[in-house]
Amino acid sequence: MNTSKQDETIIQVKNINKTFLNKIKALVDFSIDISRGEVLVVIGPSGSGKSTFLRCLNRLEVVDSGSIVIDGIELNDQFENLLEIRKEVGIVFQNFNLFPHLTVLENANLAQIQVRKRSKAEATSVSMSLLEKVGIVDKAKSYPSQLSGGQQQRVAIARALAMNPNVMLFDEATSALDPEMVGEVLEVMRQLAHEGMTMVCVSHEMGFAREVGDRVVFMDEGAIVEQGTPEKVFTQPERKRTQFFLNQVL
Amino acid sequence: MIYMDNVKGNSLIKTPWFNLAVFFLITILAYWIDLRGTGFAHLFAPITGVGDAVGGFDRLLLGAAIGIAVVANMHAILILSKKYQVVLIWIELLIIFLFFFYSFGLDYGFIQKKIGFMITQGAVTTLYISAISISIAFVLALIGAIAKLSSNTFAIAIANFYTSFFRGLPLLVQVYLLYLGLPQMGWVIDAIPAGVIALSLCYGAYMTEIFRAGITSIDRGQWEAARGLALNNFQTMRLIILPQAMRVIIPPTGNQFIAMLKDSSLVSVLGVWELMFLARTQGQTQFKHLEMLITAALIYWILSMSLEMIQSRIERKFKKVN
Repeated sequence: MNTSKQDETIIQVKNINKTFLNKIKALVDFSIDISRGEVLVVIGPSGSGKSTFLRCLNRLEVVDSGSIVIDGIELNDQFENLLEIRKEVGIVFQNFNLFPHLTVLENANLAQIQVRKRSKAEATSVSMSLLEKVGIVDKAKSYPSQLSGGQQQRVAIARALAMNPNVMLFDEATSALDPEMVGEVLEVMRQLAHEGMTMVCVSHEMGFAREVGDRVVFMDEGAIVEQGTPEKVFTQPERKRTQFFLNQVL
Repeated sequence: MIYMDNVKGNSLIKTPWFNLAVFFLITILAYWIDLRGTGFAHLFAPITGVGDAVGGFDRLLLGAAIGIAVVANMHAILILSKKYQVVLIWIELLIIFLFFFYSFGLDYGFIQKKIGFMITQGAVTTLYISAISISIAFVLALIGAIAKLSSNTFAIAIANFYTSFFRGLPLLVQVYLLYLGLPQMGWVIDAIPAGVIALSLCYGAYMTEIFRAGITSIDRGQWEAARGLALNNFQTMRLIILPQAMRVIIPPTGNQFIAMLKDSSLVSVLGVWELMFLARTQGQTQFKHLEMLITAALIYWILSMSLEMIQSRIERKFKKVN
């Protein structure tokens, strides 16, 4: 658990709404403030809007109304704003989305060179130290198809970290992995949290939420049902819906 | 077979009824064609004992002999390893076709006289017209596909019109429109440039659809990962999407190139001295049409095979992606 977090708000989400196909209400008047260094874990049944909320934070989904401000920059359709925000916000996907035609090292270098304008040498040194940190430096010259799921996800994390983001988003990062590999990826995430990274994780890993999370948010039908420390939400939930959900997963 | 099932299946060729079926089929076919007095009859003379066959029974005997030969050949081929089987079957098919041509009784001396010119003038002209058109078409296709997939309505509409028009009109009409139509507006154009432009525009339209299919075949997650890393659309296309899309695009594009090689013959209507034009004109004075046409056909085939080999090379290079 991160005890040295500052109370400075880094992400401000105000009353966002998102409806798909004029029918499906994914986010309903959703608001939340996230502090710098906080590890936020979002839980909830499928269709509750967790992933939609996460993807709105780097505009992979566009909100219909409301505002999102990240690190003082407003998230709107202006390219300059979007570029800045996407540089500061890294994302890790459930199905890794590594670039299959590039080696692991090239995957990690690409955005550094193209967006952060680092030289190849500089980018390589950053990438290699990150690959070492996630425990996969010996596979630097391999292609993603030659790696296991857990290894691929760790490469994806290193790739996102290589951009030196201020916020890391994890969209069910371990849901596609088998139990053994889940452990190795959660370890990397745990380490990251310990170092003070602001993290927003959509996850079903309750153990992780309990150990590493500063705050747990339970969502259902596009809105926050309940939020609080993991201790509080898991052992003394206030709402019946929360209890019902927890009974099934804990 | 692709992604083979790990089952030892019943080999069709080992079943008796299949062999009997092939035997009867070939026998009936040979009987019906009536190969009496032809080269085949002489070939099988030692076995059938009927060199210059005349009667109906001889005809049947000849058919049966051929039937047995075909079945025996099938089994003989299986003895070899897979790689050599393919080569041998190729050679056998080639021999059958050459035999077919041989039976025309062509004037080989005449072909020998003309083939040099057909290659140095005809094949070369065909090749460079095709090569230039292919390159331009490739660029047009890339632009067209990106235009169709963009969010700019002007780009989408123009690209749509382009592909509809140039796929809709027959290529021959496009060639004429360019060569005869442009001068009406004051811009006089030579035959070869007109041909090249028509070929480029026409094939560019077909290839636009191929490129578009290739680009859209790339998983959406690749776009999302690229955007998550703050890459813009141009960088994403250039570094992530197009390199992967090439694997899907190359086989059908190779098809188009090989087709264009033959379609370049349409510029012969403008009097360009490429392969087809020479094939039609060189034999005219002495009525040796078939000689020239067959020679041209074989030259086209050899050119196509070269393109197929290049395509295989390129496919292998992009295959290392996955």
